[in-house]
Amino acid sequence: MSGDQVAPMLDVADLRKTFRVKKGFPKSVTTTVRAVDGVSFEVRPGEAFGLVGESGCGKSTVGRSLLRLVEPDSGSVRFAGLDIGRATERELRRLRRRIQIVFQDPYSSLNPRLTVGNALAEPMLVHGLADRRSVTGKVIDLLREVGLPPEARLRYPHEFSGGQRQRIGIARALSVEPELIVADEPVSALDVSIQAQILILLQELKDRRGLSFVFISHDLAVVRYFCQRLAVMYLGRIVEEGPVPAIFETPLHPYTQLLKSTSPVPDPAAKVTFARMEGEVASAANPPKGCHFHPRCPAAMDVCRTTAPTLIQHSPGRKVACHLYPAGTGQETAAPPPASIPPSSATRSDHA
Amino acid sequence: MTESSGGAPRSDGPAARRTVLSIEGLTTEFRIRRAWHAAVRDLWLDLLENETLALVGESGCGKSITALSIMRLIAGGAGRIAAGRVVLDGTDLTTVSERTMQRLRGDRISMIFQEPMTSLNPVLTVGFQVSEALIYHRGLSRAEAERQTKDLFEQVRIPSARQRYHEYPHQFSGGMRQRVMIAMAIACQPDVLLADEPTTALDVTIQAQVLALLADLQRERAMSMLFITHNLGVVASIADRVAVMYAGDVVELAPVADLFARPTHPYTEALMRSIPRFDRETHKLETIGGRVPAIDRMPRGCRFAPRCPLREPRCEEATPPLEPVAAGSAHRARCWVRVPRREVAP
Amino acid sequence: MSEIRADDPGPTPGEPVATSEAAIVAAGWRRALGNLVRVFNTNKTSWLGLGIFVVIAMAAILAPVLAPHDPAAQSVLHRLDPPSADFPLGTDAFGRDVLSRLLYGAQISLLVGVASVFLAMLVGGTLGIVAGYRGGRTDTLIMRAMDVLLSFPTLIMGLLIVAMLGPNLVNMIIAIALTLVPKFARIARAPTVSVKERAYIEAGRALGYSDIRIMVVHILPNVIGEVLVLASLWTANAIQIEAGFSFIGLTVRPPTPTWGGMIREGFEQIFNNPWLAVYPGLCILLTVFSLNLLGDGIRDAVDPKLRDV
Repeated sequence: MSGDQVAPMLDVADLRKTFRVKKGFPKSVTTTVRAVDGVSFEVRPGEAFGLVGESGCGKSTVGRSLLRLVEPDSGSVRFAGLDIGRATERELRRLRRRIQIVFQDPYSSLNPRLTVGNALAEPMLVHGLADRRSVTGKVIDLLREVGLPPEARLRYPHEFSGGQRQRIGIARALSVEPELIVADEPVSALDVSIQAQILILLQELKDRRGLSFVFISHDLAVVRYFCQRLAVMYLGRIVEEGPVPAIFETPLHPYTQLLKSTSPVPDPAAKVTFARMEGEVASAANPPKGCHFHPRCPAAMDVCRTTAPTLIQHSPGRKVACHLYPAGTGQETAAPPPASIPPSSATRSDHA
Repeated sequence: MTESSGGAPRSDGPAARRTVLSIEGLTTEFRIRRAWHAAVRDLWLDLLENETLALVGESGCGKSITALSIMRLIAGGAGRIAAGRVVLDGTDLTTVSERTMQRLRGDRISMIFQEPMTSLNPVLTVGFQVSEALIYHRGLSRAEAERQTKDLFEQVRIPSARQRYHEYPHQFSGGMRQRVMIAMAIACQPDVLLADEPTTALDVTIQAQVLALLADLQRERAMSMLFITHNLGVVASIADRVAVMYAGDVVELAPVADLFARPTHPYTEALMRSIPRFDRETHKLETIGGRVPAIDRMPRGCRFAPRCPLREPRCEEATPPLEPVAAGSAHRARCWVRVPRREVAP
Repeated sequence: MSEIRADDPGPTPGEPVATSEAAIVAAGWRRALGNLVRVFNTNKTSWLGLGIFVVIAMAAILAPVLAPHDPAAQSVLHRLDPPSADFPLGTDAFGRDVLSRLLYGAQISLLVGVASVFLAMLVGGTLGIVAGYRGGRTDTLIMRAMDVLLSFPTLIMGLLIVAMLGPNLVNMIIAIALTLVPKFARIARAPTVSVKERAYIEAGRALGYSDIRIMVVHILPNVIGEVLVLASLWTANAIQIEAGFSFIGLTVRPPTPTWGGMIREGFEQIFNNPWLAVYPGLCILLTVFSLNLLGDGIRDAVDPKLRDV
């Protein structure tokens, strides 16, 4: 894995974004939500990088910041060396061709008043990638590439199923020939068997076009299938980062371990932890002091309540933000999970 | 974090237990452009006492409609129960008056839904909404209902239960709202609980909590639960038996271990092959070609035949019956051809 | 999502790919309006409303042809005559033919009604969409300005404009339009705010579309339905407002006939011939009624149940 030598396609450094919501009458209360609280990572060319976490962890906000659909408060996003935050109008427009986004909800990602053909033609015409003669041909090519027949261009979005609309959304993103795609939960709203179709399609497109991905998802299995490296987020921060097989085999951070143990597996004999711990999940509006995860962490120590751990290198290619792993532990191999975390779990089936 | 304490092992096979809810030939139709089409067709299913039966399938298979039909909650104008019986403890739910049905709902048979936010009234306190069920069905006084509701809140593990009685739904997180809904559903100790995708909208760590709660409640109260989901992982975690639905029919019915070890219907097998796993490498993800047929364009014969890799001419002629895969087996499949048995499970 | 779609409008005949940016804009609008027309067609009463209004409009446009007399021509001999072959509806206190005056009066009423609403729709609708889409300070600024306009009673607005600019047709139109602009702004803003959250709007921004493009191509077709409902209903109101203005004399100078002016003159003659006040009143009634039927039809067409999903 000499990936370190190649310049990263995307370089995110200390990204921060806070939302302020004013609600209430007559005296309004301002809630400050630290959606993204110092996030840094890199994506290499041709690589699918996963961003995993549950709702409220900030992964969607990170995704949108990469395209400046949301303006970060501080930190930098560099794409192929260019600082996106400093880009001028002109540069931003050109950049918009190189990074694209695919959304979660296939039902609101297409304008119901435009035919599919027009929805695909519009970006090409706006960016001057096609003219009146070539546009229809290119639309048909795009449709073929995502597995839809040429006739689809004549129809309106409501005539298509969720999976097909997702394909159209992908085709639209591809129409401007991007190099990196931010996929925000691209299969979460689809049926199980359709998910597979879309994942396979994305894989083919990635191989054929050499695309890089930032793949946002809450579904561990999908991320394991699609991504080469991933970062786990919790309440606005990255808690663990590394290559996909390693993180799943030996998760370091207690939250990653919790995610893994509570994710159901389609195998009745597999051990699933039925977490019976009580208490509310922490909210991003009022995160706990110190390490965000300490109230739920079975291995929490005193230092965890006061000091937030930083994301540091644990072993080659792996980073973790946890006081259980002070800097320097683990050289070649990852350290095994600490014994204080209960590894046992109950099987659902108690009977013989 | 504590683990499941484990319940008493169930040594009886399904045959030894009595049936609590019996669905016999249920057909629910919807009107599309003036003609009626069956979304659920001739469904036969038994829910036994003290079991969790998972009803699994993708969207459009009719699983939610089945639950709504059982509860007689199908919207009047566009949908109707065209045939069949739903027998709960000797009473046919399809023929009783609406008045009787209202008395039964929430009392003998309850339902919880996917979206807790829209299932709870935002302008009433959660305590009131749960107490309402007790007052209406059990005739309790307000004070007594309040007392029992607070107990219920503790049973569904809502922290600071006694204080939160007076709070409003928007003050609860998704997982907590779901617990409120569960409290409302089990307040009157129903015999049957229908759960329609109760954890689909929840984060996975919260889902684990709610699933654990449901499993515990089901066991403690010897309740029967019909659990609807599209997630096979959840099925494997919580179900005793599984019914797989496709296009309005049950295509496979089996104890959970059997279903996963030996999926017999090609749809079940294809479904399992299309799910990526995070606990091991997924080398090949397989897809099912084609689409679920629209209910007004159902094929003759087996409904899955057009998409089936094992299709034979006889499949398009007649619909196969739901038959045991081997003599006396509890595992049944609706297929003429059937997936061949392998030595090693995939 | 269930396969059951009782409201499915069925497969469309299909439309070839647009070959220019402008064509895409047009296609989006066409589709939005086409939807309205399609549903409008199914509603019989709205056709009745449209029919009546068209008849009235035709009568107004063809007034020079249809009117038997010059509406300003006075006749000392034929003052306050009952209906006759020469004067089908009789004459007024100055001997002018009532029918001719009604026909020419229709021109004024309809022109003012339609033009003021149209102007208000353009200006108010644009402001509403911009406010809704941009949000923040732009939104606050625009909507507060609208609130100021809204607080002027129509009558005061009319008086102000006339006092400042003089009583003529154009000023009347401006005055009424000014009172309607904030209503259109409000009605355009609401759906804009909800539509702008949709994923396809974000997609547009991600694809580098300018704000203008997004507002025109993606927001407008989804907003136009509501705006048209208001437009048709407010045209009726605008006509009534104009009648009110001309009733109190706040209008084009005589002898140009206006329905409101005729009512006032009719009032003065109420003991001699009450019909002189009733005829113009009936005209207003009929026009407003037809526009209300029309508006109801459009409102049904805009009902989300009947739209594309």
